[in-house]
Amino acid sequence: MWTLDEILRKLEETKSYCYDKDNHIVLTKEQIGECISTNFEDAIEFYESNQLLETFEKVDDEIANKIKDYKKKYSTPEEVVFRLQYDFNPGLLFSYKEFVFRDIKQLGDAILNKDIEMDAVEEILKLKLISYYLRIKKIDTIDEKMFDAILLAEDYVNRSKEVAYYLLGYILGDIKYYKYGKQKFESVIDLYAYLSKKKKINVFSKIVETDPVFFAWLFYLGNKSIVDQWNNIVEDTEEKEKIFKEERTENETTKV
Amino acid sequence: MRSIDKTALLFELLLGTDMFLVNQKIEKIRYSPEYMRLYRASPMLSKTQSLTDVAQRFAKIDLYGILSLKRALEVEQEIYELDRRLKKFPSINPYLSDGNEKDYNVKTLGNIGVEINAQGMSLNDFVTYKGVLSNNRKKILKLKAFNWYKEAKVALMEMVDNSNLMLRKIRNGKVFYFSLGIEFYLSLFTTSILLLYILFCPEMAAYRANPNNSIYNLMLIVNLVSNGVVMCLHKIYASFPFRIASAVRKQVITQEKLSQKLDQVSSKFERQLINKAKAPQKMDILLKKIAIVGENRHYSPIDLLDYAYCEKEYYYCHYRALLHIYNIFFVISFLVGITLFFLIFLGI
Repeated sequence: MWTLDEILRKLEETKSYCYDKDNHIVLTKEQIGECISTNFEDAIEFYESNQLLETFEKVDDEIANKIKDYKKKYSTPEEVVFRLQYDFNPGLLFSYKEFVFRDIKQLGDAILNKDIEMDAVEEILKLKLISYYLRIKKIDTIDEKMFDAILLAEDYVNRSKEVAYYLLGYILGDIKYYKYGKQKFESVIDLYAYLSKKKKINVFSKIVETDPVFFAWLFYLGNKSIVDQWNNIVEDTEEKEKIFKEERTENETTKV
Repeated sequence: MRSIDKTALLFELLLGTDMFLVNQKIEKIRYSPEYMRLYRASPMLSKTQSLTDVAQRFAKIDLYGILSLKRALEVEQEIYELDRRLKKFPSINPYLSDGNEKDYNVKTLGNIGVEINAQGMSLNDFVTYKGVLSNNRKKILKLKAFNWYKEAKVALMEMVDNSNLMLRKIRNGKVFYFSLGIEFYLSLFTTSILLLYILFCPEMAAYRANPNNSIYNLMLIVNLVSNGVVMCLHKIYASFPFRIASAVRKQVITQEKLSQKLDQVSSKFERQLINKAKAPQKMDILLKKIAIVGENRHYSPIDLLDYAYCEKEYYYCHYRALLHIYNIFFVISFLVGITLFFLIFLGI
């Protein structure tokens, strides 16, 4: 198979997708898309050196215009190249750098099995690549709930990458329960009933704030607004407590 | 803000208003130094205070953002009641002096009817979902039912435990003989000496041969009658602890039976509520059971607490009239007995 460099040179020569005019053999867009996907790092280099743009300006105005648009719209070359590969070949698997997944469910499984590093997922979420991929595959209209959850994870990654990471795992993977100790819970009321019965709320409270899986699970169950409300109340109360303590200290100092 | 409070708050928000956790939180707030400081600094609640005043006052206390005005007033009332009782019974402070204080919490049975009414529904409507059309509303009501049920069950179990604890205290308590003091023995002693003197003393031989002295006779009769009354009252008093212990024992047995029945149905009931329960019908049965338990309370936990921890005061408060009668007859008996001694010695 040709490398991306070879393909670009051929396109430069022929100034069209047809590389063997005598035999009417055409270099398909799908092939180019696949080539970008397999040579992602090279594609980034060619994009950064403007070779990609220069080549397609001679071959395909539509693609050249898209590259120009992407350049204006997106700040990183990764975002541009990721989108570009699907412009050539919308049928591609989910592919980003060295990661290729048969579908996004496989990505979810990889997260839950910890086969993919958190930093890589963080990058994917920050660049909003999964939602783009779902739109390309038209999954956004088929499974709106999942699409909304993905958007939530992509938004939340800037606040907590751990929560976003596990949330993505819950959305895409097969595991839908929260595991506390040896128990598995599928609803908040189940968890609450267990903690109340076993008088473990106090113990649970000591780990809950530092447990991103718990919050990811709550988000997955659709409790984002409640968690936000809770965060606001906690912040507000802590602020009040701080003021209260300061006032008390001031009063005590004044008395002394 | 402590992590337990944050977690409790999170669950409250997730599950709706969870009265069980709110109760726990209120207990914590109630004994927190901040609350007590504010409580002491604030003027006592009176009927003439406007709701705005009360609201402003509790806005200071509402540090955790979940203590509603209604609940705050209830807490206030509980503290007020506790304070009243401690002032009334200064000799013993059960919350400070007794080792069992941590095991004993004064808790009233959750007033489920009131809670349901607060939702703008009658009890009957609630159990039949009458007028509730949306599934979401049904879900909320089911959740509330679950919370109320848990609260009521905890309260019931605590009530049984408390009654048992009180019963043990009553059985082990030495209530009576220290309650009436020395008066009874003094009265008994003087009358016995007087009678022995009249019956066996040689100086009284003339009187015994011809007992026509009307003053002697009258005084002797008054003294004996007064002593008789004192003894009867003593006997009645003596029977009170046993009566109370017997009634409490019956109450405990009934409550235990009911709680066992409740336990039998509750695990199934809880499972149904947690899963895809058709809660209302079961709720109806449960409410009836809890109502029966309520009816079987001869003595409220507060009464029992007073009785077990503050025996003298309990008698004084509950049988004050009887105690006054007892004292009057003692005084009559004692004075008449002493006078009679003087008359005999002076030979009148």
